[in-house]
Amino acid sequence: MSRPEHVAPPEVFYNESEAKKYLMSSRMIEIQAKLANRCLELLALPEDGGSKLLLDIGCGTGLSGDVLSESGHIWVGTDISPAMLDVALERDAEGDLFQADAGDGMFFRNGVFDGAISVSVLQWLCNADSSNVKPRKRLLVFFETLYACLYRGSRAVFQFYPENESQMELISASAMRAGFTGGIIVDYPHSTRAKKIYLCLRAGPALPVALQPKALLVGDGEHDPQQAGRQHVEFSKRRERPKKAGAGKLKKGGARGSAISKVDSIHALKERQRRQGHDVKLDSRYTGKKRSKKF
Amino acid sequence: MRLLTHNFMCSPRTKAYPLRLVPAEIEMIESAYNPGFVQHVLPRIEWEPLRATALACGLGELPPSPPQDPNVDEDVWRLLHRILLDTHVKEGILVSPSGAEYTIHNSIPNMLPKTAADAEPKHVPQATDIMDE
Ligand SMILES: C[S@@+](CC[C@H](N)C(=O)[O-])C[C@H]1O[C@@H](n2cnc3c(N)ncnc32)[C@H](O)[C@@H]1O
Repeated sequence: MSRPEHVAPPEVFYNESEAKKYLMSSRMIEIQAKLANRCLELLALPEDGGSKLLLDIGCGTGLSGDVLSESGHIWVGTDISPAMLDVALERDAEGDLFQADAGDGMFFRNGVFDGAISVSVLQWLCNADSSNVKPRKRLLVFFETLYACLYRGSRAVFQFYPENESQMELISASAMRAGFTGGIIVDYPHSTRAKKIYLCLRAGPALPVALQPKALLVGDGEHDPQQAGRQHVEFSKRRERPKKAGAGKLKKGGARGSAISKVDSIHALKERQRRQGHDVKLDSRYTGKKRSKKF
Repeated sequence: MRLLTHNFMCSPRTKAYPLRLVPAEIEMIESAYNPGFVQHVLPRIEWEPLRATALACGLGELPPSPPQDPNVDEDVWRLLHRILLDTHVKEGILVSPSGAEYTIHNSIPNMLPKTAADAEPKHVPQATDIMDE
């Protein structure tokens, strides 16, 4: 099946009939909710139970936003497709909706949002639908303006479908250049069906390893909730001293292998190297492979 | 769009602030009083623009400075909840300091950059147009 991004620009692909699917198809609805739930979980909002103000980028019909509302949060959604937004209105989505192109950048003051999620959108920003569109520039504008409107220390989590490894690297590198720390998380890396890729970003310095998000690692744990629950490594409360620069076993060039099959995270050290102008690739500390041996 | 979100908006690219709201239709949608959330976002609110917008929307006058103590002035906190969370702009225009205008239609502000052709609602080509090319 060809990738939708190759068929037409997003505001054209997501036309009325495509938008209707989000209204009618229970499978579509279930998938959006599931992915949005996982994004929300990876946001790791403070556990004070209070309502937060969140962004949903590429909010579409508001299915992903519903997950935020159900958890008591107030959300603001942006989307480029008028047909998708019309369905959001029809569905009485609770969020504030905007018609906007994420590649033009956000339009909010500094530090006003407690977090951002985005479900199946980011790959669209790599499109060059006309010759004067520069994906690299659009990604950077997007991430820089997103970074600015996030409260310091809050997060942005994007589930997306990278077309290939270099697209994934382009997206991650743009986010890092914009000031974010974080990296890629791959849930169920060994299952073709359940495998899902998340870019987990933090608007602020990198967290100690123990506090970084972990992937779901059961090969097919989706269908065995008990297993999945057991293996889902939550954010640990335990604090760990960040590793000293140069003291680690950090490989020079970072992981160049098949990043997609691993759980990557970019650490403070890498950040420093990057700031020093080294060409540092995504690094991987938790490889899905290593852990899956246990099972 | 809630007035909370309006207070947080600025111009795309230039970040100019505030975007003056010219309301044409306001809708009140009552929500459960959430003082915790109002307290949570209050430090991020620009107070003067909020007062001006509340007046423009006919919502009454906010005090000259934001309330401090969540345990006193409950009336002000409730008014704030009503203004920030329950007041939705259905139709209207946002005007940036440099005069750029963004229309709000069906509660949705359109932030897409304007081109000369955008004076009229944009013709959205159908997928088939593209695929036939
Ligand atoms: C898979 S759908 C996500 C649907 C949404 N999560 C929901 O609950 O309905 C992807 C969405 O990304 C939007 N999109 C694609 N490119 C975009 C861009 N450059 N700016 C804003 N939204 C975009 C599309 O219009 C579409 O609604």
